[in-house]
Amino acid sequence: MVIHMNVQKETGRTQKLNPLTILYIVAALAVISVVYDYKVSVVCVVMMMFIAAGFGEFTSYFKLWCKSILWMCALCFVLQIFFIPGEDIIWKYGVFQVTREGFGQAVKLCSRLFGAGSAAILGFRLIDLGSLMAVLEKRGVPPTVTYVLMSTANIIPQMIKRMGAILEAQKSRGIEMESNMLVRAKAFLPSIGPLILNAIVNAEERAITLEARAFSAPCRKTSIRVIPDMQTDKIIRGLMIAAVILAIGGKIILWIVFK
Amino acid sequence: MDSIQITNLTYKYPISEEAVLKNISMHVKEGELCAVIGANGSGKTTLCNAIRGFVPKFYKGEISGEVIVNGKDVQKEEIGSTALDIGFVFQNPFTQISGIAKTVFEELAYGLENMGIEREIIIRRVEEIMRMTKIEEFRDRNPFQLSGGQQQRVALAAILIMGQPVLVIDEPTSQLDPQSTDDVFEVIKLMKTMGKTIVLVEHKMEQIAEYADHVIVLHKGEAVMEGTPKEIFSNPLCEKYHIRLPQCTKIDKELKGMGINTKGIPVTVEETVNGIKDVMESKRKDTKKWRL
Repeated sequence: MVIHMNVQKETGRTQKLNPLTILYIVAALAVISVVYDYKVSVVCVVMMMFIAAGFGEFTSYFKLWCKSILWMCALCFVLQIFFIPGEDIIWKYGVFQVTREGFGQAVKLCSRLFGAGSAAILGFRLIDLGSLMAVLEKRGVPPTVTYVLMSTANIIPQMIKRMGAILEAQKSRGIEMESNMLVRAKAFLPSIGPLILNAIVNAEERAITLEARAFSAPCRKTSIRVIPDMQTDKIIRGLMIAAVILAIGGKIILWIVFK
Repeated sequence: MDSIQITNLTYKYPISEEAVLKNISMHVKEGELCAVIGANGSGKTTLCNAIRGFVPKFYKGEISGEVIVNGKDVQKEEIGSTALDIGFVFQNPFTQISGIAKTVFEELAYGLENMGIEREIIIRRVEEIMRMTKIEEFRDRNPFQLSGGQQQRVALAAILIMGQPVLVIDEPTSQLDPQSTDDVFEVIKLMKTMGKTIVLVEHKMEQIAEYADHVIVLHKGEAVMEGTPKEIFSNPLCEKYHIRLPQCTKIDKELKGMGINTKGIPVTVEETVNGIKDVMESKRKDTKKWRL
């Protein structure tokens, strides 16, 4: 039926699993890679790649991952190795020096960023936020919380668009936008003001919109989304909880043994 | 039967120096389209907010007097409960999108979800309203990616679907082009045929002359004139209160100035055409008589 197709369309991409199950998988991989060292993080990220491929999202996930996490880790690594002081110098060029302590610290931090960041991006690619919010609301999360999360995700692209329009307007008034970093920064700061003021004014009107749509009406809310929660979902969620407990427990045991 | 009864309503915003609404009393009958007109700053939007209950609950400030909508005192009602009785649409189409829906279909369903309506009924009603308001083509589009006119139609449909008996519509076409204005008025016409009681703030006098049953003129926070569109637009006081006359009425005024005396004062295209036709007919008769 046409109506059902329309409602299901939103959930079509990740229909294989309940969004909450995907959230559990992503969170478990993030926790495991943060708890252990870089080798485990690499294994977790490889697993994430496979999961993305399983959902037919490998290319888009990989592209996004390269553009964000890889760059962020590289930048963080460089900053860490050069700026963390230490005794044991392993490389030196002029004022720049790399110490063993700095290198170790950089690997540790980047490994966490690598694992947690990759997991966050995987979640962003695979989870349909609307479906996840519907599931969470059904499980007792207040609608105000789900609204804030949902509207933030939907309104950010609109704000980016508006920012572009403000920058264009400033440019047409003769403000230099395409010079060195300092000039661009100077032009960027006054553009932020109208964006924030606009957002504040819009927030008031959006609150009225919500009231007009019976957001705070004293009724039990319903949802048009039908999100199946199969036995497989429940098993996977159970396994993920067990994996996280084992990982944290294992880490504590390792810490006690090797201490 | 009166659907809206306002008695001695006076309201002052927390930061304003004087009252924005001064001792306003008015009645709107059930199923009537009441247009509120007046210059900028005359208190039209504040009056809408008072009917919906947003003042003083949302904007705070001091209020006196009474606003009764379908027998309920809106000042005493919870702001959330009022949503079930009064629909509200305002000027800016861009902020009337909930921000939670990815498609127009979901946007329309959102109000009903908040009202706790069952899924099957919601789907049926969304389909029905989309067909009635002719927005089926936007069904799967992201509401944020629609034009201003399309967004305003979606906003009207999103309120219409909730089925409240009273609708407050504040300048729905102020940011729209003529085609979108006509589209929005088609939806308002539909609301009227559905028997809704409508309070409409609008500056487009041609549309008011055509659709309104009752007009209230606000001036500096006071209700200074009240009557049918014909009574209002034919009143010389309009000029005093900076009320722009409909084009038809202006044409008739010019014709009268040129010595062409049409009957009465027309406010719609139809009335003007009939008036001119009558004058031409009587001229033709006079000419015939003269020839004989």
